[in-house]
Amino acid sequence: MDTSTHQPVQQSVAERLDPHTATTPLGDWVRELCDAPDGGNLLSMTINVIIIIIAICAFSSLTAMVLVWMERKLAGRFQRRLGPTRTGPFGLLQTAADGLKLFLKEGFRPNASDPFTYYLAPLLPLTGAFMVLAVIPFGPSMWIADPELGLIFISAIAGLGVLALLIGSWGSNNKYSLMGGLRAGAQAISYEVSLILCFLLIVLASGETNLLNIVEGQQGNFWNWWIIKLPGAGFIAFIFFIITSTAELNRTPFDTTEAESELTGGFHTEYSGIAFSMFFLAEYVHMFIAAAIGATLFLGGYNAPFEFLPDGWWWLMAKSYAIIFLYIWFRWTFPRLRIDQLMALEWKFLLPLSLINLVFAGILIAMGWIL
Amino acid sequence: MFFDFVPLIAAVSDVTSATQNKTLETAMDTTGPIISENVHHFLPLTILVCLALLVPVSMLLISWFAGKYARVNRDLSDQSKEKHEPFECGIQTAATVGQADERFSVKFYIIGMLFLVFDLEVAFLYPFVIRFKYAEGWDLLWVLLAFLVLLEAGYLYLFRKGALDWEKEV
Amino acid sequence: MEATLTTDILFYLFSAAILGCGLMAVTVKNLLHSAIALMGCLFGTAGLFLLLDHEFVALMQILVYIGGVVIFIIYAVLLTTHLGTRYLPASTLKYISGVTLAAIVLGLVLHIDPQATHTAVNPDRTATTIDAIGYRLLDGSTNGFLIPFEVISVLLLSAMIGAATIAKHQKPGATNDEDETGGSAS
Repeated sequence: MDTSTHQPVQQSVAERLDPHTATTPLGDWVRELCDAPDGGNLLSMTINVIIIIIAICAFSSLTAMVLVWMERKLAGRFQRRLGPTRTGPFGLLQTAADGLKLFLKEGFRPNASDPFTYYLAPLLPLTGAFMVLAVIPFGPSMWIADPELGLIFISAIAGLGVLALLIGSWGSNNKYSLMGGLRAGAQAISYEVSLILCFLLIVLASGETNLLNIVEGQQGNFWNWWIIKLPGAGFIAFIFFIITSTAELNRTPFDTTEAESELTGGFHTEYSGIAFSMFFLAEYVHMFIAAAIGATLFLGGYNAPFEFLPDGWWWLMAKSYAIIFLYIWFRWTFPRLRIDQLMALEWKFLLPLSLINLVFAGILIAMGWIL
Repeated sequence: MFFDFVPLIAAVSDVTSATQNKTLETAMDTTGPIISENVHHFLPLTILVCLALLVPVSMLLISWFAGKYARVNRDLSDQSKEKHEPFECGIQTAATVGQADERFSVKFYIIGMLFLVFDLEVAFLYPFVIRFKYAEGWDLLWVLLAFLVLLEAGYLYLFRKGALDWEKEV
Repeated sequence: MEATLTTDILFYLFSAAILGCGLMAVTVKNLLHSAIALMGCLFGTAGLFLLLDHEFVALMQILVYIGGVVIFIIYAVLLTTHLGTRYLPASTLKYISGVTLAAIVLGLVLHIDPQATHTAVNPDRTATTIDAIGYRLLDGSTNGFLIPFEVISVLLLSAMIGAATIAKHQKPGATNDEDETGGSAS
């Protein structure tokens, strides 16, 4: 079989590497201050990275606050209640009040726990969330880093999420925690395979791993988004992405990890105060990240649905929040799966079908049957 | 576009703009070595990681200090012995309290092994699928099929053996 | 010039991380702690790959080794009993053989290239894009790696069957044995 006859690699690389340069007034100002107007030096880069960190922190805490409020409000509505109403207008400040309370709570460690792992675990999810936020393109000139292998970077970092759960559950030295951690481990590593297969489908269709290029490749009207552009395969992959990301987020119906009625709190049973709220914060930031990745890969990212509308970050936000609404809707609709049903769903259903879907997409691409 | 003034975060285009132009010139020649002298765009990410680790740590420390001074009944809480016991719904029996050293189903172990296999498979598929679009016709599809059919044979074997069933003994 | 200095500093940072974490991984008594130290060690290696502009290899280091192997190790550790109380002491013989092996490897490295340049990262280094890797991987000619690529699936196939076999062996009698040892230790 002679596969070396296909189109030489030069053109594809040249197409791919059109330089994404983006500058913002603030970044330029810092660079001028540091006497390095073009290119920047170590000092300007460090200052800019610190600004980035502050921006990310502000963004993620704001997102988490909004999402917690949204979840409680929607949960209320789904159950014919009002949800939080007292603190601030429409209960908007409820999360802030809760956060302040958790912040001032005493953080203590159970006697039997292992200090190193107990305190290491809450640090990891938030760090991972920050790292993934850094590569998501929020707009044509709104991204922190734009590595060529952005999607692979995300799949690599997302795979580390389970580590915190395992370490934390063992460090707490509690049977409920350990059981929750083991379930979380089995669940996360199982569904990760299908999740990455969804990523692979997009890479196969677009020939890109750079997230900005993936978004740029979906410009135009909404039928250029991969969910529609790849007839059938894109939509199936999107559904699989929603299912697997719900499982990766440990949200109902896949929340055997926490399973309040069986394991009290699962892996974070023993955590209190700020350590607990860091898990909590990271959970909601991860929810936003998953939705943003789904929007970026399948729904055209920051592209407007019609050509005559202006592109921008608001489209990404709108699409992400639509997916988040789906997640929340799932949570208050479906009952929890048992661990054996969970494993059967992944290993007997999602995994083989994802592989078949990948081949299907390959046939579509090879035959040129894309919209 | 007020959001564009937030440096979210072109700062790092410090590095990216420089390197990507560089790689563009040199990446054309893939048969030979691709030389790039610059620090690549992962460097800002590396700095970011280090700083991003500091943020949660500082959160822990600040909360510790804040909690220390805000706590009213500090003496009381320090004296409480039961508070530091593992959380077992208040039941203090030898059966529930103690080391978390239960034995668990070997199924968890099989799942881990299978995950490793498929993780490796995915790792090899990445450089494969990125070339897929640039291939002519069905060439690469046969390669993909040959690769997957062999893997699926093993998968079917496990399926038939019942290794994927949670309750069933292997 | 500045870029070279930065890469030099980063090289020594990563090397220090690798050495420190590696030493911790073999000396710490708690099995889970040493797995975490191993993770740090592998992160350092990924950093070194990044410095060499091999981004794909670095990310695969994180995806496969840290996200796959180390998590599997931690997972296996979690599944075993009495981890918190029972440590596995290394015998003096093992210490000696380990140190000897390390010395031999160091000697070999020095022997291979005694006149090695002493810059941390060679400025004339070569970078590899994922595209180039894919191109070579799918090249059917003598330069390419098409056949090895297909053979990988055979390897993975055998690994899968091996997984089933191990699990199968544990079922009939071995589980009882292990339960007994676990019971006697407590």
